[in-house]
Amino acid sequence: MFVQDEDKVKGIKDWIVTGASIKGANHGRRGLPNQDAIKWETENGNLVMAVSDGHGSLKHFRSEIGSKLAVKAAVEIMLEEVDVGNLTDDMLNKIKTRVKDKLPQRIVNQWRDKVKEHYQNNLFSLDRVAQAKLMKLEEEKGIAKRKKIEDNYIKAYGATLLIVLITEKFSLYFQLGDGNISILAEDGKKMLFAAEEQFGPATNSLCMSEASNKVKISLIPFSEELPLFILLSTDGYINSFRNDKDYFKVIDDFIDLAKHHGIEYINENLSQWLEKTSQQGSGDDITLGLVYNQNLFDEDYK
Amino acid sequence: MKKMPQLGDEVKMELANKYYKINKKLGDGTQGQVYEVEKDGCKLALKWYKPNKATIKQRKMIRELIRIGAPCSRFLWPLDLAVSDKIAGFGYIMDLRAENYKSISELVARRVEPSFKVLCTIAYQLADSYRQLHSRGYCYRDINFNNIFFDPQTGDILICDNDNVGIDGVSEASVLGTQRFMAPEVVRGEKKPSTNTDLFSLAVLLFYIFINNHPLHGKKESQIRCFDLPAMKKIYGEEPVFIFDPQDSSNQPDPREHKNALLSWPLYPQFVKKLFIQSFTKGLNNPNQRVREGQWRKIMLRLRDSIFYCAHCGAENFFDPAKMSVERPGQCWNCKQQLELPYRINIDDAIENTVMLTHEAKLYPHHLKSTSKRDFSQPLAEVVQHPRDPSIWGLKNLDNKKWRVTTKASQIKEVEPGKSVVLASGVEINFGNRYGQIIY
Repeated sequence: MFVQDEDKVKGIKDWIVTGASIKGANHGRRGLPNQDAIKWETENGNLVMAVSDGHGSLKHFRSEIGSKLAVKAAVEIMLEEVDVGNLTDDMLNKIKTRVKDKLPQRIVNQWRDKVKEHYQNNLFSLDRVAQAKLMKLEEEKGIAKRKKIEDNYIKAYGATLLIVLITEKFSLYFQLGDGNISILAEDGKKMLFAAEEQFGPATNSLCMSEASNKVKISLIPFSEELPLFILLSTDGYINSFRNDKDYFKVIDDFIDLAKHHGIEYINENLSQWLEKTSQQGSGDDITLGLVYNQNLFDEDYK
Repeated sequence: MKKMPQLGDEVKMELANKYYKINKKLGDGTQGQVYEVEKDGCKLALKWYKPNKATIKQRKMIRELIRIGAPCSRFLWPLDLAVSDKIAGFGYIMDLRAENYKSISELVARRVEPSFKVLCTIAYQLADSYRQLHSRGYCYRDINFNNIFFDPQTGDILICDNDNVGIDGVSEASVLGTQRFMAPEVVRGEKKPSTNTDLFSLAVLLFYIFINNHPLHGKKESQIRCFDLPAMKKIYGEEPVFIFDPQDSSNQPDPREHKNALLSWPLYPQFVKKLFIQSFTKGLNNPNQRVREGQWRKIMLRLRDSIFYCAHCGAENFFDPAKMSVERPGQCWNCKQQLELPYRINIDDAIENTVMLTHEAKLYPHHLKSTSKRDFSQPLAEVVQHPRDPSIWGLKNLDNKKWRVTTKASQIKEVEPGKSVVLASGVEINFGNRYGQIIY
């Protein structure tokens, strides 16, 4: 049963989602497209939200397509793989290893298939924009770099991927590369999923040869922990804050806004707020996905 | 009374009658939580059972395990029962695992990539450890890659979660194991875990270590959705088919999902593949046909002795006698250049007793003395480089007895302890009760 099913604000029973993606203030000034992407879908009582950040640098010149294909692949595979009927808590514990093992591989494979299809329909040799980018790459980094991308076109589409899956029995978090999945648990604890992965200058990416091995994934039955609020954000968002403490404060802000003004209000204003955040902060593209548990709005809920 | 311990709490060791303070939480499992505990600078590990797992039966079992003691030092065995009058239930104390030890699950996920030599050592030690456990009449019941840890530099292993160990065929199992490691008859619910089913789980674990894939995960598995647990029962229990079954190609690896299996399998010599084929064809449904720990132990040492290095790129390759008549040593799996075999020694004229005399080769008592057990603390011979001419290599006598050497020109000379014989094709060495022949 859907509580809301409008254009942007969707949900499954007990959950409501919204989100936005904006072109970075710097990107606007430099004539670059928004290289982030966001997508969410509900099907048979399951909800998936995916957020992706295209790498953006010269050699990843098709990353704005890579990120869109990433969220599409994520949503398709998640909804298909999880559609197996009722899972008991006992089954969930037994299936964890298999999910960790297979799901990253299948999502990465699906993304690679989509990239291959796009590339075959849009060969670099027949695309003037791609040719110009390759020429620039050759001028700046040398012919070897150009050849490397031409021989391994998948690199041009490089992007990160964050996913959250909500079913009747559990939540599942998936992270490849930078960006953040922040979770407010029922006991009030705020967590950053796979926080230890956030260090280091280079991000993991879907375009890496062993990308599925780099994925951090966790399936948490509601019997162990029920999330009340989940925030998915590309790194342009956290980089706009002075510190993690300020970043965590937005969790409270988004909950307060939803409680006092409603999700529609957030939905109407989110893009505008994010544009302001980008201008005053990182200057990067920002994408934000918000997943609310209805319990937050239940007056009897403690 | 608290349900679970908290940091700063003290627990009492029943036998030692000492109180240990809880320093930090180390891990969380389905049965309980693991903590670091300390007294007077001595740090140990404590596993405390969750309330529903802290049964009288479990307490009795732990006491029994403490009484019999560890089969060997590779088991992180229960040392003492831990109790508290402020916390419900009980726990047990064991040694802490050194921080440099990694889980086999990290190896399988390729987050740690040790050398083949280290893989062989891990496999040897696993087979040897379970042999020691089984020979005492106990079974482990839950062999899987989350409870084995290894040192990536040496291949030394540590086996954790020993609280499920029980007397084979007698004690009732509180766990059935981890589904993907269970023998088919356990998956089908026909049998309880035993030493026979441990043998199946051991073979699965070894296959994972070398091939990076489950032996039954082929085409059939790639058609099953990730979350579909009942369908997996078919793969493991009802219709298991080995992915490299020479007679049945219905479950071959799927190139999209089982790339590692397709890449790894051809790297290994036929003598290892033969044991895996036996384990997962005849041994699948006939427990008496399963490969015993002793067979694995022997073959893993042979595999380690078969390693040599590509002269072009330095990658480890395996000497496979089965390939010699067809394509000589073949191509390097890494750089694809033609391989060149180094000097090797053939003991007692048996091809299975061939050791590659690489720059780091050492010969141990089990190589040179027909009655000796495997003791790696004291090598009896090692490959050395000539101190003044690095192009000359020799085999140094580290034993306390002299060797009798017959050169290719049929000259006989003696090599005193501490002296070396120059490596040359055709040289024969009499080690006492075994003969070695140098081949190039």
